[in-house]
Amino acid sequence: MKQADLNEDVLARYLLGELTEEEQVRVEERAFSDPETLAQMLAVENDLIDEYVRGELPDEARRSFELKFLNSAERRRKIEFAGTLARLNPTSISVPADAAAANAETAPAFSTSNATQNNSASASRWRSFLDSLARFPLTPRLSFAALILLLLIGGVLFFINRQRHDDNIVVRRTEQTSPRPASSPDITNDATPLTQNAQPPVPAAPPPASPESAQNHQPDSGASENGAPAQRGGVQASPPTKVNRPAPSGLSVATLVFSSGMTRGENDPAKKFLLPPTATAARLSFTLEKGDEYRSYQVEVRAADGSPVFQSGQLTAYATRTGRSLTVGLPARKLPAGSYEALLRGVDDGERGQLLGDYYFEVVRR
Amino acid sequence: MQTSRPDRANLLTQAAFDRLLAALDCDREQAGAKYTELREQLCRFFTWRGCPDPEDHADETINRTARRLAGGEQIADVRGYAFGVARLLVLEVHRQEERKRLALAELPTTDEALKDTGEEETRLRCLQNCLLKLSQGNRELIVQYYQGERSAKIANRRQLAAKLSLSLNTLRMRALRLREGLENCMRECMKSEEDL
Repeated sequence: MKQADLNEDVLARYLLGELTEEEQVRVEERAFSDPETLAQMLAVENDLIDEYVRGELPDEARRSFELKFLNSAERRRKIEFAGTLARLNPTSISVPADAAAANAETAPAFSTSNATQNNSASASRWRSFLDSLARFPLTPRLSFAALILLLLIGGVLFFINRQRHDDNIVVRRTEQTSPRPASSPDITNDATPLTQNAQPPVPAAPPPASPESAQNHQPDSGASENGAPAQRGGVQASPPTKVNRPAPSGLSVATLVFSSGMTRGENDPAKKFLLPPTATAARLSFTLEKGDEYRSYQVEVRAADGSPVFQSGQLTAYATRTGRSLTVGLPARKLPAGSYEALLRGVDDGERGQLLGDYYFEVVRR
Repeated sequence: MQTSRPDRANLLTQAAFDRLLAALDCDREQAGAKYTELREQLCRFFTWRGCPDPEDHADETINRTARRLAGGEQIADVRGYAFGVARLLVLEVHRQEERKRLALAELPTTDEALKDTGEEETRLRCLQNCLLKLSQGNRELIVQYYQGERSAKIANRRQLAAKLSLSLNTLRMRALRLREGLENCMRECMKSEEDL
């Protein structure tokens, strides 16, 4: 390998362990003798990590990456950092620090010094307001206090009433999504808009403790559970649950959850998966049935014509409150609008994967 | 063999360490600087080769080299010799890792590496804090530098370099330094959040 050959592609291949030993030695010698090459190597390393967390690495590279990069704690920390960096909404930090300190409304106070400044400013405003009140005679002051009290009580009553009203709406929405006959169309998509997740953009991080909690309790996310219950092996699927929470800006990962036992019957429509243009990665999450216990799992995604779209590596399931699940991430660009089939296989030592389920879904891009 | 946790008997003695420093440079101060540089390079080497404990492997490499020297072996190029030792150690480490992997019958997966520990929100808040500590120019640079997918990112960086009248290499160096600074700042912030 000549010196001039050390471009970013070669460095990326080195970092993924795709060069021969001899080539590796040359890259290392060059990197250790030339600070510019060293910086280039570190930059390529960062780019690889970024591409991984955004789900942009091709399958082969992703597998090499996982073997090489997930081994060391230092690199895992880098991956965590890259995940946070990718999740950052650039518009949320475009306010200059001095402006942020001056205006707590445009930039929420991130530092305690800002918070202290704001607190002391509002305290002094209150003090001058109370001083000006003290200049009035007693009767108008008492009337004013009574008026404030009435307004406060009214406000509290209004809030409680509103809260009850909202609870009723939630109950009614839950009723709308309660179990339906297997052959009924997917009314979640028909009746309400799909909800997308705002997850840290990592390809295959497991969701929180249970599918339900993943869909209902994530701090800044809703869920894209939007399928109708159907039959697989005679098992009735659990009804989908959902939250209609507006998706925050800066989303990069959308998630589609397949409940256990879900598949497409002859007359059932495929699950719809809304992938917004901002999504850089898509996650497919599968709830496993009892008895589906394998050392590892594989997920294959095929287009409607059967052509391969994506093949996962070895995936491990994780425990949730209601059973076991697994999640796989893939680049959103691999899923243009159209129909797809996801095949879930269980794999034991040296065996070819046992087909556990096939799940049909339709990607909608908007 | 213990590659990652050398036992007490294999630890470096003062005499062996002095011998190593003397072999690196006759000037003690220069030798110290060369030692630090060698260790840093070895750490990078083991990281790039996908080894689990780069720092421990680097120390083990240095220990083995020093023991050779203490044993009376004449080594003209200590740095080259140390890298030779390191390459052999990589093979040992990978064999060991492979055995461990087979025993556990599992590959490292994203699920394990990127478990949602519920700290993500804190991490994001820390990162935003750290970004706000940067000057506006640096903040914009770091955010824009890492924007976009693969091909878009390359074009984006060219545009950014042109806009700032910098060469791509200079821009890369700046982004690298800013990113390292942000990573350190975020770690400190996470640590102080944990202490609270």
